[in-house]
Parts: sequence; structure tokens; C-alpha cells
Amino acid sequence: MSEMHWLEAGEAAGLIAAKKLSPVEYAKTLLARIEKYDAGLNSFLTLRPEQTLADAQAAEDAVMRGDALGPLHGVPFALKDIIDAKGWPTTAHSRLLADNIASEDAPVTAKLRAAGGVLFGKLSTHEFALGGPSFDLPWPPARNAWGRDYSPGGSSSGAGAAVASGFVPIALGSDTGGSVRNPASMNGLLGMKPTYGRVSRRGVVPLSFSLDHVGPLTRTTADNALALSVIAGHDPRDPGSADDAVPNFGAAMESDIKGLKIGVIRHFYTKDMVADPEMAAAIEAAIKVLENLGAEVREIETRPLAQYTACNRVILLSEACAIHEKWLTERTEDYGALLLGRLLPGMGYSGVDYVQATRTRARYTAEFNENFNQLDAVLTVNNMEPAFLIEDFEAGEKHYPRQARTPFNVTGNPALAVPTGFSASGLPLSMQIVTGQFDEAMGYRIAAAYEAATGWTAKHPDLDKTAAM
Amino acid sequence: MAEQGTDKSGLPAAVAKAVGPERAKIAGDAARATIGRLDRGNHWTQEPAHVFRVGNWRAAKGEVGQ
Repeated sequence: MSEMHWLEAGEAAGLIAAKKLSPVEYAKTLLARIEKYDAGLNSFLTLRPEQTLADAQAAEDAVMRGDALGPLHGVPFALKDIIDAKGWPTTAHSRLLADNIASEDAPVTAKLRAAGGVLFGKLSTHEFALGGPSFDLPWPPARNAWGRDYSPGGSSSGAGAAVASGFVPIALGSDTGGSVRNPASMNGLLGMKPTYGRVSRRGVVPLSFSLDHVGPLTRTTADNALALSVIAGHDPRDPGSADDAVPNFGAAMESDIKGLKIGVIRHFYTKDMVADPEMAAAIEAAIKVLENLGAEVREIETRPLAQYTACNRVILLSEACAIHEKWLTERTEDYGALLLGRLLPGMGYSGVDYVQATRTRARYTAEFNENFNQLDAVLTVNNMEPAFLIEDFEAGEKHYPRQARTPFNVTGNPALAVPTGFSASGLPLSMQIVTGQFDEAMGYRIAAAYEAATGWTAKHPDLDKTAAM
Repeated sequence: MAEQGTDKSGLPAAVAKAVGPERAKIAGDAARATIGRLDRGNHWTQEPAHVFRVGNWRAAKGEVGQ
């Protein structure tokens, strides 16, 4: 057995079902690790060890009784603190919701529990999934497991830090302009932004109704596919939810990638923006690996990154400002400075600007999806650079716009962040695999083949050493 | 909202007053820069990405719609 804190979720569930791993011992081991290391990482906002251990005990009792077990039975998970869990706070890492207690589980939380998952806690986030990393909020920002002086990215910052640190094997984040894929990139993780509508958004604090997606962050492709299989599915009470069958995402990973046709959008990171040489070299190396595995890779072109970004911004901030309008005038001083600064431009758009952006979005979505008439997947960069120093405000402001994730929030296509190695300074690098609407399985298939060929996901941070970085 | 209309920054007057002129100006400039990059080349018949689907808002039996 691997060290318990690096067990894959699927592996742990198998051991638990076979009575080779006690859910209680597993939970105690991970809670002890959190107690030892999280004071320096700040990934959790709320922990309730007694409740977690009670849930783990219930899971153990079910095993001993011989009950039917779900696919995550006894497996720890954690939630970005914008996702409701009944009786737990949902603060959005903000003074504005500091006293908010969820009255119900969000459907994604309920599904994880129904699959046997054990809730460990609520995770740090950029304030309202937009402003951060911030030092002027009631809780400190999460830090990077690979070097605590670095940002873990965001907005699902605690999710990235907690999974990379071996605190939990699965965390749920949200992604409106890249907030699952950014922390996945900065922490060496798999992060899936599924198709828009694939996963219910109900019970999740909204940032932008038409761009919000919920998705899992995990250390391996298999765990990501497993987590998505559990949380996906139609929710008739979420008006954006798609009534589309949920396949067995794990089954797709059993196929090789010989003959698959993959496009590469190079202009995003060589022309529209120029990526850090290590980031660009890593994706070029990944292309060679995929070719060696039998894929046919060719360069494609799409619209310039700036056009997608403008479309995303106008929709995102218009919808966000509609949510925040009242608070912006009545509780202005309760906002962190970063969130306020990022949110306010949305108050300067007109209704016409917003509708034009939504019309442009429809056009771009149709246009981009024509690619999948000839291709199985599209690759491109994720972040343009590895993690930045968390206390360097200028570096953070420069970092966040330098990414290629927003196009796929605009088009709603699945986009999977996949680790591509490490920089010379030891920080994770990443790419995205983008697939056709509701074809997350194809992304997992390619990622699994790449993961098996490279082994990047087998590397983990040494938290004793990274404390000094 | 107590104050209607638009501030010289381009933000609603009540918001500009709440956040102060400096923040309002920065936000207004940022908004104009983004709008300047927005592709508005939509044919006049182009539908928006999200349209009203009446069935989405039908209250379930026994449930009062909001």
C-alpha cells in the first residue's frame, strides 16, 4: 500500500471494501497530517474533526455490516467554501457571508456523500471565487504545497493546496474563468472543468450564472474521472443543467490513443501571448509523447485569445455585478480590495454590451465546435507561467490575465488541466486537453495515456522541505 | 438605489459614491478597455447564448415558483 495520504481515491475505496483499510484510521491519519501542516498552508477554512470521524465510523460500520458500498465509500473529500454542506458555514471566504450556514447539501455534496465520501471540511477560496489572494480578509489565503512562498492559484486555492498536500484525494472547486484549472496547474494536479450543465450548480454561491462550472481536482486522472462520474448528472432544479446521459468516464481510459486526431492551438501561447519558455517547452514535449503513443497531432487556429477574454469578462462581470449590486453600495467596506477592484468594472458595462457578449458567445461556441468534426481533442497551454510569489501583488496582477482558460468557459467545452512536469525551480507546469461537448471521456482517455507514459502525477511535494521555499 | 444615473467614471452614481472617485475611475477605464476589445460583429438575427426557456421555470408540483 502507498503511504496512506497519497492513496488514490479509487485505490482507497477498493481497500476499504476489501476490509484492508479502516475508514476511521484513514481519516485519523489524514486529519493528523492536516493538523501538522495546514497551519502553514491555510487550505482549510473550516474543519470539524469530530464530525468527520463520526462519518468515518459510520462508513466503517457499514463495511462491517456488509452493506452495499458506493464508489467512494470511506474516501475523504473537501469542498471549496462556496459549495453548501448542510449545517456547515459557506462563507465564500468573505466578510459578507461570514455568518452564513448552509441549510441543505448542494446536490454535488449530496452525491459525494451518497457515494460514501466523508466530508473533511470547507476550503479556502479567492473571495467570492474572484478576488485573491487577499491578505485583508478574516482568513489568510491558501499557499502552494510545492513552495509556501508561492500562490496555489485560484480561485479554488484551498482545493489545489489540500489535494496536492495529501490532505484529501478529492476536492471540488468551481471554474468561471479558469478557477479549477488554475490551481490544478499551479499544484501539479488534474482539474476538470466539465461541459457547462454537466454538473449541477445549485447550492453553490454564484459568480456568473452562465459561466459557472463545478469540477473536481485530484492527483490522478483515474480519480478525476471517478469524482466526475459521481457528481455529474441532470438536476431539474438547476436551469442550466443538461439532461444528458452520464457515461462511465473510467471505462474510456482503458483504450489507447492510437489514431486519435488532436489539434494544438499554438497561437494562444506563441503569438496572442508569449508563454514562459519552460511552460511552452513542456507542452511541446507533451505533444511528442502523444505522437509516440500513436496520436496524430496537427496545429489549428482559432480566434485570438483577447477576443474570447473580452467576451468572458463582459458576461462574467455583468452577471457578478447583478449579484453584488446591493452589497456594493451598502457593504462596500466589507469587500477585500482585490475583489472590489476586479468586480467594479462590471458596473461600467451597459445592457447592450452584455447582450452583445452573449450573442458573440453563441457564435464563438458554434465556430469552435466545428473543430470536433475533424478532431478528437484540442491541446493548448493552461497558465502562461508557473506559480508566482504570493506576496508579490504586481506579479499576481500580471499572472491572472495571462492564461488560456477563458475560451472554454465561453464555449462551455470540457477542459482538463493536466500536469506536464516541473520548472527548473521545482514548480508544476500544465496544459489543457479540450474536447467536444459532453465528451469528457475523451479528455480522460488522452490524459490517462499521457500520465502512464510520463509519470508526472506520481511526484508529490515534501511538505517539510517546501515549508522553507 | 438612492442615486440614479451615471457618474463621470461611467459607473452608476450610487456605486461610484460608495467606492470613491479613485476606484470608480480605475473601474470605468477598465470597463471601457474591455468593451473596446469586445467583438460586436453579430448579424442582426444572431440569438444570444442563453435564451429564456419557459420550461426551466415551471414550478414543480407542490412547490411555489420564485
